[in-house]
Amino acid sequence: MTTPHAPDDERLPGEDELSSLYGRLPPIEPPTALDAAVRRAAAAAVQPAATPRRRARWPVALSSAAALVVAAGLAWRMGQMPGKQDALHEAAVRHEARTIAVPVPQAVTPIAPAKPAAETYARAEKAQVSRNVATAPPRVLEEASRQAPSKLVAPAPPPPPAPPAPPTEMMQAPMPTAAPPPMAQEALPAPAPVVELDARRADTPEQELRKIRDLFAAHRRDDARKRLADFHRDHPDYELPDDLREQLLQP
Amino acid sequence: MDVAVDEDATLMLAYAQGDLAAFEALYARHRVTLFSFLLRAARDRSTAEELFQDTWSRVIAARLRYQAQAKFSTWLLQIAHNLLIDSYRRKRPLAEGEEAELALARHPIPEREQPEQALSDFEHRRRLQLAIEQLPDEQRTAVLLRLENDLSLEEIAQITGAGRETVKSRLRYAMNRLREQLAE
Repeated sequence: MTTPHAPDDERLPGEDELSSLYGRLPPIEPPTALDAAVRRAAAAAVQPAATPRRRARWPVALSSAAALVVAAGLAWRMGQMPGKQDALHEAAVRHEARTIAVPVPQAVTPIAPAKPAAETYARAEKAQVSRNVATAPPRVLEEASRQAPSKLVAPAPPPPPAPPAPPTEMMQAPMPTAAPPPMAQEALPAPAPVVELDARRADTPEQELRKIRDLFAAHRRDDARKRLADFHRDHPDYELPDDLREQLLQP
Repeated sequence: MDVAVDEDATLMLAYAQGDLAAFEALYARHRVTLFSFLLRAARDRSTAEELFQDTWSRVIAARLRYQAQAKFSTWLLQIAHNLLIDSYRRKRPLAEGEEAELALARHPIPEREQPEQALSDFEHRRRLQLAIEQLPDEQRTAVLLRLENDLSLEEIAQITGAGRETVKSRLRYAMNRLREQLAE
């Protein structure tokens, strides 16, 4: 600096001599790299807006696309959630007068899909799983227990307490609350079709008569005649079809 | 404020408005004196370089808050001095004796200034340089601000945060010691 001292600033003894000698010391230049670094910092400080603004476009587009993908994925997953299938199932039961349910081994969830095609598919799946349970060796049974829940649409109710199984096999079961251990599956008999014909208070007369006919068809004549007599007692004014009237009149 | 200070302040204010050329001019004015002060005060090249860059970084960062109420050089040296004091506290013990001499020997006096007839003057300057290095920190800082930057007692007091009489006392002790070293 060449700023002169203030007029009233006093000089110290011998200062002029020292100042003259110091003035002859060589100036020390900062390194070129240091100069460049400082100049870069100075330039970056006053021109910060241009570069980020150019870069700010693609992250926005990318994040928008990612958000769309996530939203689509969520929608697809929610469409496959079991709760929705349950609602469809309940609606179908309400409108379907005759419901046939096939009891399955405890490893397999009983379901009755809403659409006939789905019902057929589910029955085939259950039957296949049941056959596997009855005939397959334990290793295959484990595989079946793993695959079955993923193919079924509705979640299974909690199974009854299973007999104790070896810890290693318990570890291999992927969903212990949904499927019992393989040993329990193996002990169950092969399933047999059972017709659901229990009387319900909410059944309409037509539904009750349909069930009575099914009982006759299933050769459960005594049950059918008893249900028919009860029906005639409860609905004395209902005009019975000829075939049922004959059954009622037979001794 | 003299004309030179006004120019520095004007350049700094222009840089705060985005004028990079103003900063270039300002930097060209002060880079050598600042680096010389820092290297002779710190007595360590890497420390001096670090402090030099830190000082300018703070100037850049504070550009929008700068007010032309004080001389720019006083403000700049105040920043550098504060960083220097922090460095003293962090890095004790500092380079002493031969180590410090080596740090400054990287900037030897040019060969053309070392003929036989100039040997006495060369030796005087070398002794002065060594004598300054051996001063206590506060006296060395004060004498460098006085000799290198030609500052008044008030300005040195403002930069170092000491009273005017304290600065005067430090300078008196320092200069007496330098003269003794040169006379040996």
